[in-house]
Amino acid sequence: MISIRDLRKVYRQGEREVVALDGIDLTVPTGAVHGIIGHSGAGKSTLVRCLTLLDRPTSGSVSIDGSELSTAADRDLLQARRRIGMVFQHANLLDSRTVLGNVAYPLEVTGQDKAGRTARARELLGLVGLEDYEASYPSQLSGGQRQRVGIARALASDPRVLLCDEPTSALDPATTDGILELIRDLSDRLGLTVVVITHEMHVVKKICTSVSLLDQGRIVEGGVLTEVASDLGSRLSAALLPLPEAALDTAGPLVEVLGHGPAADVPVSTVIKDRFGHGVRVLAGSVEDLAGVRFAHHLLALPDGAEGRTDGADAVVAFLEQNGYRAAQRTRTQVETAQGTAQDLGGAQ
Amino acid sequence: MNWFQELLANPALTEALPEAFVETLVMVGISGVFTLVIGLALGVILHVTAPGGLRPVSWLHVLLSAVINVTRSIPYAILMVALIPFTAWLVGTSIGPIAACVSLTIGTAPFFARLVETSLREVPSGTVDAARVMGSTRGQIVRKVLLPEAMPGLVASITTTLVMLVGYSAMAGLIGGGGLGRLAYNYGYQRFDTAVMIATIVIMVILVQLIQWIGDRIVRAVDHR
Ligand SMILES: Nc1ncnc2c1ncn2[C@@H]1O[C@H](COP(=O)(O)OP(=O)(O)OP(=O)(O)O)[C@@H](O)[C@H]1O
Ligand SMILES: [Mg+2]
Repeated sequence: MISIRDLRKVYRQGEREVVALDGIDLTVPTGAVHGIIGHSGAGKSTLVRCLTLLDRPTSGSVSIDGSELSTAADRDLLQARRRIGMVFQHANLLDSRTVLGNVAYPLEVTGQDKAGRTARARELLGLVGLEDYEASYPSQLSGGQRQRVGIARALASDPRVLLCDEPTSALDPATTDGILELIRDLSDRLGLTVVVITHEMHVVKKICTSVSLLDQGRIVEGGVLTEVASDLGSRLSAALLPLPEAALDTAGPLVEVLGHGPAADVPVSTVIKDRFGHGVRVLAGSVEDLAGVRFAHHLLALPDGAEGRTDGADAVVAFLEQNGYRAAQRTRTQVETAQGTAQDLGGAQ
Repeated sequence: MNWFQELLANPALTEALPEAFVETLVMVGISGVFTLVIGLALGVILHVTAPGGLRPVSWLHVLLSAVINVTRSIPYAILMVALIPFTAWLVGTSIGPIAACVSLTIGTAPFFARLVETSLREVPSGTVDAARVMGSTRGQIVRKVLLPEAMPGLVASITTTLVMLVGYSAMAGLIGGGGLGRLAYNYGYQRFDTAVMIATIVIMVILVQLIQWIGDRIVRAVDHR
């Protein structure tokens, strides 16, 4: 379990103070795959550097499985760091060593004998599917293969926590999915707690069980993936379940509807028509499975002049809410803002 | 007598030249070893103590950097003369190839230290971060990460330094170091013996080419980037 309490990091740039982390509180339970998403400058890299103590936090605490890292003395730090496996955006392998030498490195620094570390490194290469490449040098591998070596190396010291900093940002979509599946699979098999830092919602959707949104050094939204997704109107929901660009060529009120589970399988326009007798136009819609739950997200236009009537927007929203949907009336500006948020967090379609 | 027999009859070529060549090798060899060891140590210290380095020690970095800059800004021809008393005190004499090694080492070690520092700086900070996250001590980072990763650059720097030493050793020859420099000066300049002059130049060129060729071969062998 990872537990972060009121973590602050202030960088001093001459006269100016840059608050990179502004009181982060976060608990990631054992076995969870937790995504931390935020756009450029949100503080993601700073958070990673504080978690691995490459940078000392200004204040606050970080503990892993109950042992406190942030106050550890320098010599305990080496020990503490070995409990965290880290995967970097650009793998950061040693170019002067073969693949086997790279994976064996963490065991070498702990003083394990050569035979032991070679055997363990071979086993790890098997785990990531690179047993045939042990004698290759990193420069002879593709980006995806290098990242696999990086993952094998991160696992060498038997860490309880795997910290991935933008692990797929340098890879193409197909390779990205392969690496994400590997991380997910390893977390299941080895019971690892995984933290994935990313600026792409795709990564979160693909492997995470929970997610936090980091903005200006604070966690502004977060929780279990399916709960966060069904929180209509939140930024994470907008980015997790983005709607395609819609032409808002109607004068009628706009209603955003989110159904999940069984409600996602019934066409919402039919439900409204059955109750109110009038049709609605579907301006945009998307159906997606997140963590095994189906979500149907729609933007509806009610007939022009529907506002003041008993079958107007308020009545429709109330009716939908009573029937297991999440619904809300939206202004045009709100719709556009949600689009922007989705784009910002790499979730737009 | 044809020209070849004439050459063989010239004692400057048959006796003085081989002797001078050995003296040059001794000068380059001994001062080379000292330069590489001292320069490597200084270069590593310079890099490690730099701001944002593995173990920032501001005063040491500034001091070392200043000493290196001062030494490097003195032309070698002046440095070797200025160092004569120091050399006499250190090795008991100020003439001969061994004595020349003192000024050669002091003249080139700071240069090599800077090259080492530059090579080490080219190791990406991400690679060092990765090593730190994996729980490496500072010593392990220097030995297992910085030096091996910088190896192609280091070997190229060693090559450059040795070539420079060959040139400096010729200069050192003029004030009593002996070697090929002295030979060319005595015979070529003072006695107008063109054959000796040309032979000296040819040998120096071959020596430098050889060092460069071997250096390049090693760089290629250790470069896995
Ligand atoms: N060493 C530093 N000195 C001063 N300011 C820093 C330093 N490192 C980061 N910052 C500042 O802290 C803030 C957060 O930076 P950080 O690198 O953590 O963002 P990020 O979320 O990783 O962004 P990106 O997605 O672009 O990598 C930024 O305003 C940045 O300028
Ligand atoms: Mg970053």
